Amino acid sequence: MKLLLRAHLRHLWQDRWQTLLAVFGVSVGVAVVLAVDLANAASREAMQVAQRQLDGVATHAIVGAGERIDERAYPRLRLRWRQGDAAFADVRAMAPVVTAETRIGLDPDSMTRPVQLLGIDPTADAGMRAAVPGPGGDGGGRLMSEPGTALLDAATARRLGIDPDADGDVQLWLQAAGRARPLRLVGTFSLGDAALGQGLLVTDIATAQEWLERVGWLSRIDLIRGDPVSQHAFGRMLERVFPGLVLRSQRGETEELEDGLRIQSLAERAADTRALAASFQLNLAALGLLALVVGLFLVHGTLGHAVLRRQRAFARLRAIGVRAGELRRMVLAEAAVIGVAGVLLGLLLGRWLASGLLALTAGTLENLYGQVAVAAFAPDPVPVIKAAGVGLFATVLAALPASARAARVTPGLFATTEAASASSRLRLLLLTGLLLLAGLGLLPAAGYLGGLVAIAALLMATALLTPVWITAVLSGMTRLLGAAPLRLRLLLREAVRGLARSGVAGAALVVAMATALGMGLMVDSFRSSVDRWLEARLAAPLHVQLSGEWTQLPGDLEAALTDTAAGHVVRVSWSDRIAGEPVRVSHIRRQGSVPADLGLALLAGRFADDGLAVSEPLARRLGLAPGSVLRLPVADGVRELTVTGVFREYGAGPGLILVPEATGIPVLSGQLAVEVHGPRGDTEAVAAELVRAAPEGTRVRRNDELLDLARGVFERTFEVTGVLKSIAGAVAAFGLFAALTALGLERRAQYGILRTLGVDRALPAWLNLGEASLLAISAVLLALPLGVLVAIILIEVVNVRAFGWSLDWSFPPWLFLQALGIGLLAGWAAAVAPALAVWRADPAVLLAEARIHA
Amino acid sequence: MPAPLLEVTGVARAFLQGERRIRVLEDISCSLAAGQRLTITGRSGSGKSTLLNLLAGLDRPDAGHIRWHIDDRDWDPATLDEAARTGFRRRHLGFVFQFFNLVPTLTALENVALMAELNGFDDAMERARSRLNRLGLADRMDAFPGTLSGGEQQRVAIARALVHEPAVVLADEPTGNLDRESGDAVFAELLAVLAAERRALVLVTHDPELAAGGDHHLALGTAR
Repeated sequence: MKLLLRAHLRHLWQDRWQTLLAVFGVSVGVAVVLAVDLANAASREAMQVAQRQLDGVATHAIVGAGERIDERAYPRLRLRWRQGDAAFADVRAMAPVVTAETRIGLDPDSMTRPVQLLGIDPTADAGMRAAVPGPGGDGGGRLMSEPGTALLDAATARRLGIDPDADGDVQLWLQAAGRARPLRLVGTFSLGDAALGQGLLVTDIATAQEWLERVGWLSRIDLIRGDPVSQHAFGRMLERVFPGLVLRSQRGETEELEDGLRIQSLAERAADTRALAASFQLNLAALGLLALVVGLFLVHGTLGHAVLRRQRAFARLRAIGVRAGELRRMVLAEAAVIGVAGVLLGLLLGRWLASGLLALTAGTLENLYGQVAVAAFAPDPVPVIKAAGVGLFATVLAALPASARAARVTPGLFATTEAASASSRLRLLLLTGLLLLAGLGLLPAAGYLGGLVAIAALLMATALLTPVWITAVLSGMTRLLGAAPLRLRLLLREAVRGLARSGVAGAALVVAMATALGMGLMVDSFRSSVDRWLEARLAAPLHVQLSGEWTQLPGDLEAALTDTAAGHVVRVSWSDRIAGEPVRVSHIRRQGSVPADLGLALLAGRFADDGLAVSEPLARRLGLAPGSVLRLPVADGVRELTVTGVFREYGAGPGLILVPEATGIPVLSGQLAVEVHGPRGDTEAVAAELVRAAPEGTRVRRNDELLDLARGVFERTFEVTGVLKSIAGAVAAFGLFAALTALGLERRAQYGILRTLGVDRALPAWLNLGEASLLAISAVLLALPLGVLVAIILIEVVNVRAFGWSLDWSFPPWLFLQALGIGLLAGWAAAVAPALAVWRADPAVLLAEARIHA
Repeated sequence: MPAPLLEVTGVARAFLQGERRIRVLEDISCSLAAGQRLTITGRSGSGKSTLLNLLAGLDRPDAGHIRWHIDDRDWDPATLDEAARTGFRRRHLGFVFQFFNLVPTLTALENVALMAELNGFDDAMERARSRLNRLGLADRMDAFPGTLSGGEQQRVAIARALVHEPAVVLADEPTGNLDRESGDAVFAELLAVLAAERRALVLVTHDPELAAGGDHHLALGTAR
């Protein structure tokens, strides 16, 4: 047994280039899976650290409509707690908080460093946030006694060039509520996870209210409840293993208190935040797995062919008493060796690749969901174990057909080829049919996961059929070209004969190209839909953003708008949560004659004064349609309103709700924005007049600048998918290269004979290039319709279910031509080296090899 | 007296095996006229295949000369460039190998026609059909090599070696992979065709019976 194993493993060394190819396939796949997981884990960890920094050990929070609370409620609630009110029975601590995202810098011109401003009551907050010094701590006491002072986390201080250990105060500038405000840094504190999360600036609650222009308002009141709802460690691990999975605790339902106030579980709030990014992360993970699948085609092809080539040797081994099961195990052992080597290499490669992906994914998450962009790799073994396990398991899985073939070899003679191939064809068709049925069956399943699994099943089924398809295409061409020159016939037949080796590489190429085309069509449809949406938004060419919180327009600005703008829409927006979903609510005031559609594309219903209009993603998430009733939190409770329209929206992560003034819903103080509708040519003059009339801190921007920014966000969002797509394509091209190289090596004997007979050196090289072209063309012919199918599922199922976005179809011919070109280029690139090797080969050497092989 | 078809004078060839220089051929001389047969014998490693490679222009001698006189022109393959040597083999030589070495993806007819087509004959298929008919393979023309017996494959190889009417056929153990009866039959057919068309044969063989009937005989020693 030991010698048998040695013989098999020695084969790996003798055939080392092929072995290396298989190892490469596994390693690239494992690397991409690991890199995606590491990048996702780092982004997720950064979000969670940021959340922990803010929440501390708080388990729940009291929140109000518009995500804010009248500060007069706090002493009242505190009194109820102290008096033993049943609603606060298990509460152990209570602390008010004012918080917002801001930017700081050393001077007013360089306020670029993002920090979370946290205003606390140092006395009440003691013990709530371990990192933040209490009133008796380092600088903590000064926050209360000296207005305009703050503490900063040490890591951010260092990034600003401030020595955290130095004595003395430091003057900093803070960008808050649209203004630059001076602050005095009186101390620093350590956050522990210095590389993660985002900067934290802590100040007294009154100072924070002043800076944010929210005097009289709290963001929330943090609570520590005796029975903390903490997510089990096992649940956290499951979330890391399965991207897109967000586990929610059983408890944590919102409890109503008084005047629209409610107690919310912070664990649930964190789960909501994670869920926002989960779809994006799942899409990335799916692309990572695609690279692994393409890599495994290389393993499958290499081992399958190695078994084919060794059938004679296996037959001899069977003749001398080796059992079929032993041959099967030996082939699996070879796969395991390839798997282990590939996994080790892949883990190293993955760590390197992850750095690049992290920058892309973190940026995208920030763009899409406004989540923390500062992230770093945490020492987490779960992604490593997962990538290694998936790599090894998949390698052995890819080797199963080859091991079964080895076990079927009969002693003395080869397996009865005809019968074997007939039964394997039947099995192949059965498997393909099952995969297709499974894929179609899963398509209607709820959730985008069903769509992704359906795509995977479709791709696998097509991959299985690829060699049959290429054989059919080439055989058809052979019949069509029956009277063609012998050299052409030779090319076609050699290509068919080589399919045992190149068919699997062809399948990998089909999968990679179809995915690339499908994603390309989806992205292009997305791009054109976003462009149309952006164009519609240009109906309101000016965007005025006031600093601070407002419930109505300042008088001067109101007058300027009436005088200079032909018509305008005023939107006062505030943040809230509806059924756990973070939303922006916009109160709409129309002044004068304004376009009825507000520059938004309606998908269903209409814009009406007596009801709400909701953005498409929110409508899909909450199951809303025209006629539905939505419970909207307002200052004094909840109001039920009818949804009259659903409009297209690609811009914001949270859903958007438009509340017309005529509904009588009062404005919750918020960030006031004015959109000015009017002739585009007049914008400069109007903008100048508005700037003059607006209060300090107002930003007047042309909407096209904003839209350019949105386009930039869009392009960056798809950068990462482009990178992963390219990796899968490169692996497939490499697989084809390896297959053609192996074929070239195997045909050297035949080429030797041909060269001896007087065939010039161009013919074998031409045969190689021609074969690659035929393979690539056949693969493209299959990949094009498959790519369209993939795009249909991505657009009609995955995008709608994952992001709530419906897209207009776009089928640009250049994408199809590009796929054709890339397929041919991949084929030619793969064939050049083998063709050159044959071109250069000495015919005497080739003939000698022919004699040896004979 | 007409010039001989082939003149080999003082040919030597050695190979490096690690540090050691192996002299495979040393001072080999022989000649061959049109329609004659040269048999080369010797034990394994004596240089038979090396000499055949030199004659075909697949290799160059370290010393000595090989001159072919074909179509009123002298050819020294060693002095030709790669493309010219390929052209020389294609046009003037025919090959029969021990293991037949037919192209597996071409039918018997196509294998034979390939050489005619490479030589630019417009009637390549007709020529091939005619050759196969003469060798008794009329009903096997559309069969692929994998479905032919060893004897049939070697007959196809002989047809391929002759279809473009070369001056000489180089045969490397042409019966070495056939049983005695089939081998004898195939060899007899080869000799009959060569005699009828007055083509020369260079035969490498282990078989003393085949070697016996040649016009010239070259017995090679063991490599040193």
